[in-house]
Amino acid sequence: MRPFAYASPRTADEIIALLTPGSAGADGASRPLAGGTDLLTLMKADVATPSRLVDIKRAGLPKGIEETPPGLVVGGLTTLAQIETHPAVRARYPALAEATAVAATAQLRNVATVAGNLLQRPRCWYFRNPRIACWLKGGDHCPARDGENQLHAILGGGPCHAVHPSDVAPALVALDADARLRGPGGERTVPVEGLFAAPEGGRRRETLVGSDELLLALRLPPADGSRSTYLKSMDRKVWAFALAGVAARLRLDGRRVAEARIVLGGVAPVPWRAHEAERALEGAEAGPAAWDRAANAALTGAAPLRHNAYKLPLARALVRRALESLAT
Amino acid sequence: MADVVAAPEALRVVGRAVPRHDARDKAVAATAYAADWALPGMLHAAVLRSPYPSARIVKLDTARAAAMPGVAVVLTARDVPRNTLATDVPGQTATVGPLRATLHVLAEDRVRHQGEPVALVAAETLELARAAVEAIDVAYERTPGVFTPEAALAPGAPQVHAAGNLLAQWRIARGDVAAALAGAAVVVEGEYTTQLVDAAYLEPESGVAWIDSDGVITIRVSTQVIEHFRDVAEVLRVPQNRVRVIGTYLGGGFGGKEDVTVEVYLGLLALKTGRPVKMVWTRQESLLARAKRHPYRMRYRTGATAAGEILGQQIELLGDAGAYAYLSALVLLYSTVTAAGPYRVPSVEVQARVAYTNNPPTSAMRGFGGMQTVFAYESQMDRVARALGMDAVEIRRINALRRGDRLPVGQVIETHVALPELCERVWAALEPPTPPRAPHVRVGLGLACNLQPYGRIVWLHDWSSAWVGFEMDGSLVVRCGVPDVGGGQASSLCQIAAEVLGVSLERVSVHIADSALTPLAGTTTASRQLYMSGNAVLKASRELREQLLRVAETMLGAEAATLAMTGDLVHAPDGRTLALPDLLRECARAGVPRGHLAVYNAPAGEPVDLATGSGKVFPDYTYGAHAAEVEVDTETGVVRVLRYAAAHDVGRAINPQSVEGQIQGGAVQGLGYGCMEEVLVEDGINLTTSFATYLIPTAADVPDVEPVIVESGEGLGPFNARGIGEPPIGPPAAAVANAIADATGARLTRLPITAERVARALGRLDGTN
Amino acid sequence: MNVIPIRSSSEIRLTVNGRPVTLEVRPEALLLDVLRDRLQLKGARRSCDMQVCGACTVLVDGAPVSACTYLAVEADGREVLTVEGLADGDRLDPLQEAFIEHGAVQCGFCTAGMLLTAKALLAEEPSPSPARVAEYLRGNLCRCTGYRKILDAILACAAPGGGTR
Repeated sequence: MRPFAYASPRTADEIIALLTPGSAGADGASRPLAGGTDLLTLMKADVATPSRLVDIKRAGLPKGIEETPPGLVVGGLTTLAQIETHPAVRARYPALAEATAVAATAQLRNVATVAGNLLQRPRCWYFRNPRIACWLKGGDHCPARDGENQLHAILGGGPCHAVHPSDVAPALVALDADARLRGPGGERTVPVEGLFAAPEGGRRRETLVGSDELLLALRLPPADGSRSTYLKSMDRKVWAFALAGVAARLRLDGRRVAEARIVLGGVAPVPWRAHEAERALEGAEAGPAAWDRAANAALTGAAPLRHNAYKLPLARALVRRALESLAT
Repeated sequence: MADVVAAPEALRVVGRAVPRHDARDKAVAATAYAADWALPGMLHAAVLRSPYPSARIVKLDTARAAAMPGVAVVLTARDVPRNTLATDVPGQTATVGPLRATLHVLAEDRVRHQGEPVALVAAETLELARAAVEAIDVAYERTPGVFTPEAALAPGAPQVHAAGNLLAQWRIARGDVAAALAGAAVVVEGEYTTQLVDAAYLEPESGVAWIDSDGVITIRVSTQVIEHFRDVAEVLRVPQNRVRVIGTYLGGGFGGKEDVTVEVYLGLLALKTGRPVKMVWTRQESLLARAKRHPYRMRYRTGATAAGEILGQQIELLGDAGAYAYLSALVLLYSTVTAAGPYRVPSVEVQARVAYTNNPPTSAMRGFGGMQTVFAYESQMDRVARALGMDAVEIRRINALRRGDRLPVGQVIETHVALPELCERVWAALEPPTPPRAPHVRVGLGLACNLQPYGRIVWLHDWSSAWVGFEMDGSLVVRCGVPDVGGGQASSLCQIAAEVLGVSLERVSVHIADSALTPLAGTTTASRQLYMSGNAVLKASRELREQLLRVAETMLGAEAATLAMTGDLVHAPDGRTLALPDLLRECARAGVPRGHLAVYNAPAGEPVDLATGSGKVFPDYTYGAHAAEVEVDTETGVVRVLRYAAAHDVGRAINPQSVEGQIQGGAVQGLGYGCMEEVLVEDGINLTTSFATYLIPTAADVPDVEPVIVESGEGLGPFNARGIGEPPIGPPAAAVANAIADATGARLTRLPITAERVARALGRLDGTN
Repeated sequence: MNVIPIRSSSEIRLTVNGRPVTLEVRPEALLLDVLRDRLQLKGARRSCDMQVCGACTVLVDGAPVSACTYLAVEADGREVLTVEGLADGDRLDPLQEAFIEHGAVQCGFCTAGMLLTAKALLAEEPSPSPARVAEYLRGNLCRCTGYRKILDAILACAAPGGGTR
């Protein structure tokens, strides 16, 4: 790995100062280091070349899971392993427990933080190759559009066609989680869904979180009688792209669907909230007919590329099965 | 064939599932792999590689890099005494001409594949070496390339090498295929495509070289072939006896460490600097530059009678050699010889070609050309059976080779072929069928058989040698130049020597893989080491035994033929015993050697004329049958292998635990080939240069592989063993494809069998676009 | 605000296989290189170099991590266990014995990582089901054995109650 400087500040303000371009001590190419599982890999591949890493783990930032009945607060520095095994998460937010359990490997889950997982970069093979000037890295076009795109987006693609790789993000979006952020101007709270936006124009990133902002914590609202699950299909059971994943949450009122969230992973540059599927479900009678309608509606607007049309039946089946499992 | 066949019950050590001597060292991390070695004053090496698949080198200036502090040397092609590695390929056809497979050590005026080595650096640290590589001033002018063999052979295609893009071709014509197909009750046609895959051993290419105190260039390296010391000597233009290769225990080879890897570069750098040098490739380098398995396109037409008897088969094979020849011509020969499978086919025509492209080079990998063809011939077999409404086992039973039959190449099968038994055993192992767990899931069974040669081509005149001898305390030493790739090569030799000489296994030590100090044993490739070096150790042990018993005869006053060696003692018929140290002291006094060197020569022959099917190509073959039970998710195309059984006739299992390990490991590699692995290359650019994109199976991806060991007692190896290193990797892809066809009726003809391809074959993608 | 020291090298104190170690390391130094080159502990091996294959697995505070992608500075104040720390003199860890006995070792390059991951699993869950063992091991690649004998060796060390395969 190329040499870099390293700082390990003791307070959040000091961290933010080091990350803020133009402020004292900042050099414009600092990156926060949490678990490092994504950042260090990008650095080894020469795709990221920060001049300094700012360790954010020794500044007392929120880590671990705090029960705030009837909700739950998950510190940004909480590891995936901690989430996966937490009894309250397992009992009340199964989509999150399941998403962390299928994410990566034991080795990664022990180190990777939930904040880092949400903010990880795409695993697209063009993006990860330092010699290929893809659009996301500042080039002028996306080689995946007409290239080897079997793992790429079928929804919301362009100008970048990479998919958001996180399993945890769709689960948090489906659970209506909020994110608490802190930057130079203070704190703000936004829905997790609002952290993401497909890259466009001059913003060649998948997130709206500022490079000088810290994702402090995630707040999960009360589960409130709703059930949730995360289903994933992949080529291999480790570190592979989710070929497709779906986080689903349902609240039933008798046989009627009172509330629904369907969020797809691995199919779009961001965790893909399937609003049309949710609308198709809300008020509908629980059952195969509704699941089929929702599964079809979830892929509304899909525009598969040459090699990834298989993701449509795959995603539809996952949606249908997720709903089936929640209603039985 | 081995001269004496002991009844299995009489064996004490051979045939027992004993833990290997190297397992303990590996479990406590005492084994020093090639990259674990270090010497005082050692330099670190790095390679400048081409980023382009096809380009002219228009500038290569190393001055700035060489002037960097801490950089010992920067080398380009100009600095290499002889910049060519060459292998002759005897028996090549007249069309292509005599073939000399050549490879530049470092690129000269042009590069032909991405990752091709252009320059070498040795520096005080690895970081400095890498920085110096970046400081080399190199400029390329990109030139048009060819990226499929079809494009390479088209008129007007850019030429990868001056001699043309057709690297090699073999042809077999036996009988009248046109007539056979015309007279067939059923003719099945199929086209099959296999992909580029990597050996993906966990240990990257690595080694350390130094000039020893006697001036010998010594290279301690992870290699399957210590005889590459000769190639290093050629390149360095030094006498062959001035280069020594010490082979380490390998962290996997699978054919990928059969060709030269780091040893030539290390030899050069040690020679130029006079200092110890280490070179360890990164995973990215390994995936980028290391030779891989050939992608094939295969066209088959198979005709059979209404009773299921195969009458004729017309076969076309086209392989992608990538940018350099390596062993492609021989890989293609293996494909040609095995193209019709382990079946009696009276009329066969095989047209096999392999072409240069600007893709990553391809060469040896476990299965060596006998792998791709299994997918085609076993898919064809299944299609014929289905067309005739026949059972999978029955059609194979009818057509299986039998002793005395001829292969299409004309070779007479001289040993027992247990194919029907193997089929029945694996089929039975998967009883009863698993019921589908959901309405959208279908479950099916697939069967696939194969034959794989063991031992090298007979006109290569293969041999191995070994020395077996006692120390004065009665402990035994085996010296044999075999590289141990992890398959238990060395420990099987200990078992054989212990068996013959009656020594307990703990009292045997083995020295392997040193081109200067161990008798040369040839390559650990071609499933040949147990066969070849096992026979050499067997021969040395038996001859030593005779030698010693002649002395014991006098000491015990009983005829040598009546004496037994067991339990570290010599036993006379009357119950008296002689301790080994006493016998050895007497040998010393009488001037009788306590050690013995033996050479085993494999059956040899002249190159055959394939076109006329004139005879023997390989010493013998190992046969197998695998069965897979798969479930297919008919909505998504996702396939899961639920259960798997793999049977091979190994002649005799020297160590059943090692045999099981080869079968289970080979089958899982074969399942990776069938279901997930692919080196994805786009116009010569490799997109899968990490284990995050080049996916190999994990523990969670694979079924339990039930190994079925059949011991026919017929094989050319020691105690009638057959080779088992390569055979188990062959059938899995076909077994899975046949199981999918059984479950759904869909025929998958392209590897790997991904969810995408299954969904497409099931018609699930219609209307989605 | 205090001035934050921007360091180009740091002193770290950690425990490796039960023994305290103090080292000066650069920020970019990886735990794997420190173990292999500074402490001469070669059991953790570099293979994929991007935390996919598990050959470099060591336990940090009891949890398996990939030393190839773990900064040495992050090990400051922590306990690291490598394969060299598994045996107690000549007395091998039961997992090591089981790997040898079951033929779970072929080329051996994955073995150290497998042992440590298995050690962590059995500490966490003394009687895992066979499926759980396979799932937990998915970050440890083996190219030789087909995994079955490795799983058998680990299950032989599990407390009864995890169910049969």
